[in-house]
Amino acid sequence: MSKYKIKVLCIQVIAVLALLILWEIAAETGLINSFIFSSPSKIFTTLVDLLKSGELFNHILVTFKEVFVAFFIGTIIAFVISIIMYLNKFIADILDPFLTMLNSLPKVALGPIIIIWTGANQKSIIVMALLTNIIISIITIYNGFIHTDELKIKLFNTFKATKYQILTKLVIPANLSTIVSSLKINISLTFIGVIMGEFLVSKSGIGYIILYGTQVFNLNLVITGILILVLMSYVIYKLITVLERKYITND
Amino acid sequence: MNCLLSIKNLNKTFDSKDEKICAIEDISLDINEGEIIGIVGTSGCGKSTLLNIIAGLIKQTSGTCTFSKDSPKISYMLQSDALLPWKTVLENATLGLDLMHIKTEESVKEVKKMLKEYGLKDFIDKKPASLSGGMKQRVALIRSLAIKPDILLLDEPFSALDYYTRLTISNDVQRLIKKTKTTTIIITHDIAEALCFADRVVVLSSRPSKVKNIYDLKFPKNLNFIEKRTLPEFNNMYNVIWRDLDVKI
Ligand SMILES: Nc1ncnc2c1ncn2[C@@H]1O[C@H](COP(=O)(O)OP(=O)(O)O)[C@@H](O)[C@H]1O
Ligand SMILES: [Mg+2]
Repeated sequence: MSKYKIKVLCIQVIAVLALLILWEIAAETGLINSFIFSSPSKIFTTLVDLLKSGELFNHILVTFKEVFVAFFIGTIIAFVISIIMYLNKFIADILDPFLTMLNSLPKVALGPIIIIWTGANQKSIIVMALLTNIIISIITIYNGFIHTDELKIKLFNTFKATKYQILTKLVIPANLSTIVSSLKINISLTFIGVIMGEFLVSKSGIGYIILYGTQVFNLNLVITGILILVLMSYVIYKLITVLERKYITND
Repeated sequence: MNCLLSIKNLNKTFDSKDEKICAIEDISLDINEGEIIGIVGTSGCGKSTLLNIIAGLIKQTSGTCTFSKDSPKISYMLQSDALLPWKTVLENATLGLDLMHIKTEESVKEVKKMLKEYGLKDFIDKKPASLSGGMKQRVALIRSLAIKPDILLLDEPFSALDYYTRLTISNDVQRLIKKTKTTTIIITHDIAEALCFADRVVVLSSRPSKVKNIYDLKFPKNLNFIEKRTLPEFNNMYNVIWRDLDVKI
């Protein structure tokens, strides 16, 4: 690690520690109401309790599973639809206004309908997450596809390349970095969708912990849940970054 | 000499939203096997349009463009090298062979030989990002020649290079083309480049393009580009074409 990186890391650690210490002191001295704002020590105890009972692991697993299922299904569907749209401009032109409309619709508004259609179970959480991630993924990937360097397409045409060759040997490889950045957006949106879904229907998962904590007014539980979410999304984000470094050669 | 490509009364009009742009008007031209034709014209006159029609990338409005053989292989070298950054130099150079399904061990070997001959030996398995502008252009040329085209079309292939690189690369490229005896059309707005490169120079008028004049060049064959430029006939030709172009300063 370079000196600069160590410096950055130190300041980050110090900032977090300072925040925790200030928070703890404020809660201890009664400056803030620890019943509403919780405190680091209470969060820690809650975390340990959850860990001991083995519940925490189960909740994390449930949420992760939902995120991964929705992420994979969403990515594959978005990828396939983008390819169909790229190969068939007619279909793309037909879909265009609907995609724009659906994209700006707040997906949470569909929650109640989803529950009625799919039942109050894990299925509706996945559907919720899919609705949240799929449209923007399609738009991002398709836009990348149609903005492939004209000159390179012309080059392929001079070699009498078929549309399929242009797709597999030019358009997809040229857009790998677009696809990866769409994966990044996709994963955070999937997370949002899953938590929204868990708020609406679930009996387990981190979203459920937060909702349950609010209902019984246990703010320690709520904030612990939020912290776990932050960590989970960071882990997933890092995973994608590692993938990106490994497989994307930059120009 | 055998005529390879015969262009007769070619016209091209673009229909854009509110106006018709006539880019090419009644161009007729015969191109012989093995010769290098230089086409000069002011920018925007319709040179690229002409090449696009010959390459079959766009359709003419009227007129004909006939090759003396069936399904001729056409290679087109573009203004930019258009190398694919995720493929190695060798993979880039064999792209045409690949796409046309004519890649064989033999043809790959020939490509490797050309790469080695033109100073790219150490870069065969490297990505294009590590090459200089001139080297990239050489790879692009080898990619065009790899398919053994019946005709090679060059559209201002060196315009992105700096002056000195341009002189050496264009000299190299011309030698390679002469050696492989590839029939070639090179477009340029640089009169000197056309004079160095070509056996015949066609001067186009400003838009709509018509053939204004055709000159057979009779410079001694074995001179390099720098030597050609010092000939008195070179300067004379330069001035004649400059007047043809009728550029207003
Ligand atoms: N696809 C097109 N649609 C409309 N106008 C075009 C198109 N392509 C070229 N033109 C016009 O035709 C003229 C000739 O273009 P071009 O052949 O590219 O010129 P150049 O001699 O510089 O290569 C230009 O005025 C250009 O604006
Ligand atoms: Mg041009």
